[in-house]
Amino acid sequence: MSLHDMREDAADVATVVSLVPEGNDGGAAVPARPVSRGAAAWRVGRFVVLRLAAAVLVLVLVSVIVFGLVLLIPGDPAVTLSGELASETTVAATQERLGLDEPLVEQYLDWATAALRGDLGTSLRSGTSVSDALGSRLPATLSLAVGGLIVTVVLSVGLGTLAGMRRGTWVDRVVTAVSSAGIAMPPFWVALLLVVFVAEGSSWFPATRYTPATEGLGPWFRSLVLPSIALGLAPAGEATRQVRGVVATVVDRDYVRAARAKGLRGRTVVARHVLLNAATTIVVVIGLQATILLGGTVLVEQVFNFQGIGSYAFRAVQDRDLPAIQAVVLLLAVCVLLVNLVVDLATVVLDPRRRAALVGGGR
Amino acid sequence: MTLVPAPAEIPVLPAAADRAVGPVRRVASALWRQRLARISGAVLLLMIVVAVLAPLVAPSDPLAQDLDASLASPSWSHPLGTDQLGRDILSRLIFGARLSLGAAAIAVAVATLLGVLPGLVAGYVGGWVDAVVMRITDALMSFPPLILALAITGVLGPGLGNAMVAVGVVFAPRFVRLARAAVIDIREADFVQAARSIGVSERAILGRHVLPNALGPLVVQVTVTAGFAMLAEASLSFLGLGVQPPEASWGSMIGEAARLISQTKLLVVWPGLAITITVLALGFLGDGLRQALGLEQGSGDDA
Amino acid sequence: MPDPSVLEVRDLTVEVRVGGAWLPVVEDLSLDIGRNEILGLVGESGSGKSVTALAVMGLLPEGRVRVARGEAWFDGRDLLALPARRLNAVRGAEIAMVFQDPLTSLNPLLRVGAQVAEPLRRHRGLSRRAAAEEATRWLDRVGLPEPERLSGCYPFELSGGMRQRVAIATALACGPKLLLADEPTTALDVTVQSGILRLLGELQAEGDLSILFVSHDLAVVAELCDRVAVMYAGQVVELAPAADLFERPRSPYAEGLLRAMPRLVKTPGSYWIEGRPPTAVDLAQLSGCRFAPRCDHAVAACAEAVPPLTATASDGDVDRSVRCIRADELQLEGADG
Repeated sequence: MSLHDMREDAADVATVVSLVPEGNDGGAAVPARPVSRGAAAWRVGRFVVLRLAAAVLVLVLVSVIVFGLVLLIPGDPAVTLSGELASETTVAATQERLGLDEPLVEQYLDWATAALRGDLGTSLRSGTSVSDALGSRLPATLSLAVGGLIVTVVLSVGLGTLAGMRRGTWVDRVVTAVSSAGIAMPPFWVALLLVVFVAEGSSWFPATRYTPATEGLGPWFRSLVLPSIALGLAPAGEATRQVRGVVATVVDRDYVRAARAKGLRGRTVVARHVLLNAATTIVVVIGLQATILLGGTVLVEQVFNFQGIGSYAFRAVQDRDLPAIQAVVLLLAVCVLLVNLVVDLATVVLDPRRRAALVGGGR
Repeated sequence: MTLVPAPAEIPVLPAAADRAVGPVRRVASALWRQRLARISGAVLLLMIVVAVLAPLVAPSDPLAQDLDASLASPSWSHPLGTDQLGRDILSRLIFGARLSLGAAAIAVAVATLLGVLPGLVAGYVGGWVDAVVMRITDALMSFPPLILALAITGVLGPGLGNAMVAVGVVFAPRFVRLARAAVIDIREADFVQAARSIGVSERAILGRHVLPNALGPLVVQVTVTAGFAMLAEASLSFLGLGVQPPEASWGSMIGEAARLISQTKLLVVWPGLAITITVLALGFLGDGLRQALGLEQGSGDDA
Repeated sequence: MPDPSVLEVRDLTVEVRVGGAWLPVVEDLSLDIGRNEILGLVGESGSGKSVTALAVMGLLPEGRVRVARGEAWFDGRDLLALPARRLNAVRGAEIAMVFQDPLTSLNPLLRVGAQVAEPLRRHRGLSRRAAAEEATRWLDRVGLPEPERLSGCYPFELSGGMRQRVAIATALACGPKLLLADEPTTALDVTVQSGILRLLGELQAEGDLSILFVSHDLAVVAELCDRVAVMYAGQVVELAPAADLFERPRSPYAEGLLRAMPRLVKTPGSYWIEGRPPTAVDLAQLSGCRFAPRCDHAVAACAEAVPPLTATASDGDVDRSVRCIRADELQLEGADG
């Protein structure tokens, strides 16, 4: 080990020690930033790569499970998938198309490598490329998912903070009741109620159909309002409860009291002292709801007649279109994994203490 | 401010009589003291009783069609009106309770059975077994629950039985984590080491220390999962993949009503209300249980 | 002619909720702090000293604790009666507070410079840059090295002593007339404590600043304070100039505290006061002097009624008061015999 390395190690140790300062006085030196740019970048890079590797491992398992769905098919897969009225030739064709006669591992590898290339197979029903179909339906579902996310974030952060800061009051009780109700109402029922009692009464919100942004931002937005509410209500309820919990904890902390002692205005205290410290947890909480949001698209798209990925999934299931089912499930699981990864990285980025521990300290 | 121990921390020492009572009674009485949990428990009990005694309670035969009285308004003989085939809605709701509640219960049972054992093993044995089980659990939890249930049902074929299995599989990972956490919590505890050192068998340790430690969180998780399972079954039945006609659960009733939305608006409301009330009750009961057991106030599933 | 008081607390009673009832933890407390004076408020844990300071600042936890009655006159205004918005304008600008644990009383996610600048921007309306410059100046003034660089640090990067200096800078940034210091050195190492005390003394001497110094540590109080108020079970039991109190305490409790102080020179046998202070629940059943159960000099009359806080008859023109019916007859020992 070169002298340079040893000095760097020593400096790292010093930085770590300074993270747990004891017995230092005002005369102590300002902590230096001894870690070189290169070393810091390498550490960050290593962290990201490790997280990515873990995610990839889970992804492989996910793909195995998705592929494994074929094993659940009762009876002879080729026969079952071809339908009851299929002739022998159709069955043989199905067998051929899906490669069902090959050994399992080969089937898996064929499918997985194709998926990596972006080829998610051809639909049994329509014979067209699944990837193409999903691609064309992506904007609708993406818009809906984002809309639901916005509803979730706005409601949970707003109501959760309100309740958390006024714990035990009637405000808190009302918010708890409302959020519990949100969780309990089936999303498709909420969607139907909105269609029946809101959309049909007014011309403002269309009852059906997704209007792509290409046809005008106004109509696009209006076609998304009701479905987003239906989709985001349940995740919002769950997230509100959790946000309330973390806000209630942070509000009791000494630095919030100290902030009040400084005479800071209420909203400054809430924003800079309460929410800032609750932010990491809130991000995690909302990230957890991503999976619910994605799943709910199936129901909401049905009711509002969106031609999105969710309704595609439903139709695929109705038709027992195995490649299509597998493709959608894989795609959505990948989305969830991506969200989890982003949230994971964000929690490190948002907290300077974790940033410092990552960059400056040894493990 | 320590002149008085912070009021929240004043330990409520159980009265001498209480202390002698078993843990189940203690939890039950703690639960009883919470009004919301009490009401929820009562509501759920009422629903179960109604479901079990459906033939006795329902005013009419849920399958009896009367096309002349199609989509009738509420009346004395039909308190909630009739559907498009003239069937009494109230009776359908009551019989639907059997399927909705029953399916949820079975799905939760499946999830528990599928999840607890691997979780216990993983936590106890540790090592690569633990790693494998946890990776698989992580992978399963990466699927949006409804999507996975949809896919499994799709592959197995529509039907209530398949739907229940699918929902059970979807919620099993939560039980795996729960069981594993309970085991790990206790496994290395001092008194367990002590027990081991005096020669108590592993099985006895499992039975006498590990399982009771897991029981509390397990009960809470079962209650909470029952609510989610009910919503999942309702979703699948709404889509036509769960309950098959002529049987009806609340979810499929909403599905049917949805197709008639142009003709009648109120038809959709009743079964949805039933689901909402049930899930709410289960949720409040779960909260109450958590409070009574003194568990952390994390809500729902902790990932 | 004594200086007009900066803070005058009259008959302050603070109650805490226990079960269903509200029980007092501070009762009929009165004290005053003069201009440029450092008043020590001393007592054991649970005596109510921190509660007093928090009550004056309006920082008592809502719902569980409340001010039942009393006034706190500051600059012609009763702080306890001010509406929240007006109190908020006073806090941080004219009265400031420093807390016990500098690790938890600084926002972990904000840089130190920003936290010092906060009250400047809020009360003086300074721009971000002007506030940052002033904040850096203050960091220098409280004895922190490399202030520009330090202002970019996060609290976790600093030592305990440095953090407390930051907290002091934050509190004094807007030039308040009164600083409430709630056990500011208790969480720090002994070696660091004297630095902080010295700092407070310097800052106080420089400008127009009064300090209410709350502590359980008599030695610390002796070093810094002009006058000392001794609290027991929610009441002031003695009020005297620091030197006089230490030389000759007039209340048995103060004497007990002095004797119980750890000394550098080993005296044969250590001393402590038997028993423990009464809790709010105990107080409800206690009549008469609250210290009587533990007092070496108690007589039957002590249990009859709570003695009032009265000026001492002797001692000429030294301003002292005691809450003890036997104060005039007792010959009590002070520190160093």
